[in-house]
Amino acid sequence: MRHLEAAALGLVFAVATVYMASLTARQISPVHHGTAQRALAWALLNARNVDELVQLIQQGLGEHLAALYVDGQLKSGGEGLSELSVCYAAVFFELETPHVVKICITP
Amino acid sequence: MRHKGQLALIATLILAATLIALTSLRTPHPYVAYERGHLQAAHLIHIARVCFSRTCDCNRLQQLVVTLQAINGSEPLRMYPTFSLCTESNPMNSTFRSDGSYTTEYAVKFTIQTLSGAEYVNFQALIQSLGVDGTYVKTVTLGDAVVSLRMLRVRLKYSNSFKTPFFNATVCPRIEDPEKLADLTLLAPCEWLVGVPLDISGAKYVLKDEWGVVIPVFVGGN
Repeated sequence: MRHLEAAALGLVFAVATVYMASLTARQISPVHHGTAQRALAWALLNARNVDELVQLIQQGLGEHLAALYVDGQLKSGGEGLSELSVCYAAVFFELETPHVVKICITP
Repeated sequence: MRHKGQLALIATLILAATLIALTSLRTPHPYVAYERGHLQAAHLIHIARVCFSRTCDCNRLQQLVVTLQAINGSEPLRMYPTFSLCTESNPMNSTFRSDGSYTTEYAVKFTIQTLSGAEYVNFQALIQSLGVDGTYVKTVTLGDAVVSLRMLRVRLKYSNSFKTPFFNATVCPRIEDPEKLADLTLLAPCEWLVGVPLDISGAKYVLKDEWGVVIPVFVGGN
């Protein structure tokens, strides 16, 4: 009987630990939101054309860049996307034509 | 009996902990529709530059904002609703003085309607002529012909200012000549000595900045 009690207590402890760990993980401050937004804003202000915009984004975000799409087409990444990834898009007008550059980054 | 009571208590605890844990597994998926931040301000500065890259009026500015809002519906720009407001009826405004110098100002104010009230993004480009520095002759090759051009040397001050809730900046963009005829020398930050052809372009010669914004150099004494 004592063994059964010990096992039951262990199970309660394990469940509580997992629950608290998952809570902590989900409450991590979403710093990557701000990073993605600011990096994209900086690139948008400095780029003279879409190619340069893409180049500046890649330069600014480096390995944090999980995926990059230009006008809906995947240009780089794509494998590292997860539930925690966050995506932002920028519209770059080139000769009056809007081009959509979307980036996704993962914490 | 005591053991049975303990077991019941532990069983209750296990059930409670399991139910809480199961609840935590149901992760919420919130969608951030609108977001205050640098990106929206950068977008508005970008469309102001696009508009001023040719003749820009209030309607065209508003049209660009509407295009941006339409794309916002399908792509994660996360923009709050925005309106553009021309500070003058014509956002490209030139003022001439009696000594022949002039000031050209491009100004636009965007209003972002956030949940906590209005926020503003201002874009201003300022072109000031600081005086004429005489004329000179320049020999250039146009196609197969070698021609001499009479050039007017003008001192210009050119700057862009952005005021947003997130960043304020005054920058000195590089001036370029799409026709490759002008002589451009940077004297100091934002201050240029430009030599433009007098006889080619009528009353004004058009330069552009590195973002494509039009910089008129008035050569015809307005």
